[in-house]
Amino acid sequence: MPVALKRVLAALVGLVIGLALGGVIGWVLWPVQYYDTDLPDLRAEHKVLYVQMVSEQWELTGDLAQARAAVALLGPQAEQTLTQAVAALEARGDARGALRVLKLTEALKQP
Amino acid sequence: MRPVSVQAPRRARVGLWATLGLVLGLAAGLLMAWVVWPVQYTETDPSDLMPERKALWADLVADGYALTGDLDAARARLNLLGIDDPGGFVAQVAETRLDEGASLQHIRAMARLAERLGGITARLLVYIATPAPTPTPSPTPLPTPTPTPQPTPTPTPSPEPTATPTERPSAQVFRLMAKEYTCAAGAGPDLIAVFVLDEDERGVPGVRIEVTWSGGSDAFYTGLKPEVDPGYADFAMDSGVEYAVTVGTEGSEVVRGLRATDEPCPDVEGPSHHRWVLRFRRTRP
Repeated sequence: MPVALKRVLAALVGLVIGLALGGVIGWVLWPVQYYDTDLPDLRAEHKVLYVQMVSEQWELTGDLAQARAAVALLGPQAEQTLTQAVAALEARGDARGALRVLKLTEALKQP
Repeated sequence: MRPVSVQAPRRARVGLWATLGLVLGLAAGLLMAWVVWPVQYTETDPSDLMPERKALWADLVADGYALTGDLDAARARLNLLGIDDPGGFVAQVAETRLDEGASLQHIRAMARLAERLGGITARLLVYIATPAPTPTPSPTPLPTPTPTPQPTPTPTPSPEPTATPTERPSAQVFRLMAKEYTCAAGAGPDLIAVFVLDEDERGVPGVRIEVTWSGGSDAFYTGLKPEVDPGYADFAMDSGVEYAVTVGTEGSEVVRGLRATDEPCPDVEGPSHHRWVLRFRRTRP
């Protein structure tokens, strides 16, 4: 085998091993840690709970601006989460909670 | 004579290339794993939230508890934050909100939840215990200073008074036994004086009393003036405002039409004030 080919092969083997090692280190051993996440990153069930709590606060205080600001923290998925929350609460048999979120959803549609 | 070679052996040179490839590969692998396609956490738990969102979570839990009274649900919701001392955390957030000028209603909600979870602080104690100005503009009742003790018809064996509620208000139902409008010696605002007694006529501390009027409401607890009676609490009335009083919660009698008047007190020498004296007795729900 020509010497040049041996060198290229050696470099390629090294590269592949290096890539594999880098992947193991970066994705498995010391992956990027997100310890200061935000509300849009929550899993769906927790977003539903969050929306439920916002609706309870709204019923207690009647402060729609506060509720609007709290729901907006969910980002672009806020509206979808409200719908999911109504469905989830209904499925759980919590008709009162579902109605509360539904009312909040309607109220938030007002300008 | 053979010339001396200054080149590395072929095997060593191949190893050099392999090492170079390894280093490059490692760098590229780490770049991809940490920068280009890092691990994405899209399904996180509330325990991973940033501190200000955790505080917001606690705000919502407290208001939810104020609305529903469901302590188990509140505890479960707080546990999702992965905090060792939920009560202490709620108290800490409450004090922060206090400094930020949050509404009295919210501070009270947080203080009550913190108290229920065993995390109440001295600074917050007053928000679960005494009447204070409400956020509504008028009227604005203030806590009374030290009222003249009202003699009670039955001596109280004085159980150990507590400054904080010890029973769930919803578990107690009270019935009005006496309602009297009297003159009392001493300067001060007109009062609603409430005595809450148990079945054996002993004062009951820690009972929630709610006073409502047109445009506002306030709530406080018996037991903060044990020098009067363990079951005693009072509330300063504003002139011209009509109040309603509820002791305990569900099923308890509502006393309406309590209003301060300007009637003179001829039997009292010196400064005087009026007081509605209400006596409630606990009954079986």
